[in-house]
Amino acid sequence: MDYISDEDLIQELKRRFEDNAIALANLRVMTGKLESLNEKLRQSEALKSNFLSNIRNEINNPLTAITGSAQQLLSGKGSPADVRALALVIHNEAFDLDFQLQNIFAAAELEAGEIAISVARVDVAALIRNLIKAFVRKADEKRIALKFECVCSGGPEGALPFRTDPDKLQKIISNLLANAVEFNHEGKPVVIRAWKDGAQLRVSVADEGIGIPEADRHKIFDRFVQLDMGIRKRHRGQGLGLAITRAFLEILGGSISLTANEAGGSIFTISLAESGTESEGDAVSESGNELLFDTGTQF
Amino acid sequence: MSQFPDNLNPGTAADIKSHYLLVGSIFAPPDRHLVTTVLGSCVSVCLWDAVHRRGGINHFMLPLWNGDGLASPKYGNIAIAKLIAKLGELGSAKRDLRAKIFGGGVVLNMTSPFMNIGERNIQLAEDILKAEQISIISADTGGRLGRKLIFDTESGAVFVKKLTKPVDDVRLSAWEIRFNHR
Repeated sequence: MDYISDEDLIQELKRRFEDNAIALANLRVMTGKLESLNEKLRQSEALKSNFLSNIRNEINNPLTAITGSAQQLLSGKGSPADVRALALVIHNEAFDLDFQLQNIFAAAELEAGEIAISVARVDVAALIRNLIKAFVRKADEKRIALKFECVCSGGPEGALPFRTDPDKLQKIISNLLANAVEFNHEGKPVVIRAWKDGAQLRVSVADEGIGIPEADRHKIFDRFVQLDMGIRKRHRGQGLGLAITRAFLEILGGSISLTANEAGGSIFTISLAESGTESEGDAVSESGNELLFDTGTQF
Repeated sequence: MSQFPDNLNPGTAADIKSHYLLVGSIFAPPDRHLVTTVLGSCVSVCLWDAVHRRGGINHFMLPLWNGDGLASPKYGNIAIAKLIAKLGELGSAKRDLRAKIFGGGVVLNMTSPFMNIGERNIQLAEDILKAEQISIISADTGGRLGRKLIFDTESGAVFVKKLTKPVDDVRLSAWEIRFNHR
């Protein structure tokens, strides 16, 4: 029987000690990761409760403005200019409220897993022109011009046909547009561009607003997150728009990117794949495919 | 238990309602549906209530929600809990539920040294179902090919077809199929 020498014993203990040190270091890294994940989940829960308390400001205040203005209108006093101003308040507040509610419903549907897709051939150019019409009053408040540059056949009033889910595309672009108007500086333009890049549809929305610092770019797609939060919060909304936008794009097989605008502000660009033309005919057996016809005796 | 009729072509059965299940969604109808979905490294858990003869299915992409984006059923821990809750809302008790697991194929060109995403999805489904005390009575998971499955929510039968495309191509293929399904 061989005996290990003291030298060998020391070497072996050294080796084991080093192994332990490595394992401990790995464990530390893992613990660090778990701690940061735990912190992020905790924050997300906290943001969700903030959302419930914010909803008072976000929903109640517009409603107060709407009922107040409507009462003044009903009193029958005031010049035509006053009537117009009151109607504008009602329109803008209701428009905002509707927009916020649509986002809350969309987030609720996405979180419940109740999303369905309904694909149709849409004229993206017409869809964007209609959205601009809907946002024009809101933009006027800040003297923001909404410009649309369409690279499509048939000139500036031409069509840009594309197969996708029109409702989701509309929600995606309207959220980008709403953000651009909300975070733009007064008097600066918002430029929307739409073009086809091979089989991909691309739409970009550029503002000349406050911009998004590089360090914060990973946060903005999380739910209930606005960069300007807490009591200083100056911007409306729930911080749901970009989370919804990204989730819809994932479902539609698209992506979103953010770049800094050279004129200041941000440019959000979406990229969307058009549906293929592959037929849905493979539901039954084809040669070479393994078919597992699971009739199950229990289930 | 009833069998899936041999002559049934699930894609064209006109009298039975069908539903295409998108990634990150859950479907648990009160009445009979044939639910179709296409899986690569994603996993679907089918739950079936043997007493009321109804079932539900999810389709998740990643095991755990990490606080990014929306807390949607794109993540396994959320997708399974919500599926059980939805069946519960329909009146199905957890003790009557049986599970089948599908998908979780191996993505070949993985760059991460960690366990394959498909395997992690399968592991998570098994762990959660065990914790919920729902027995898994059948599974067709792993492997290198994608799967298309059709789940009959009334009989609980699941029809699985192995796709000729490797798992890596299935996500793209799933997009294509969903766009053409309606």
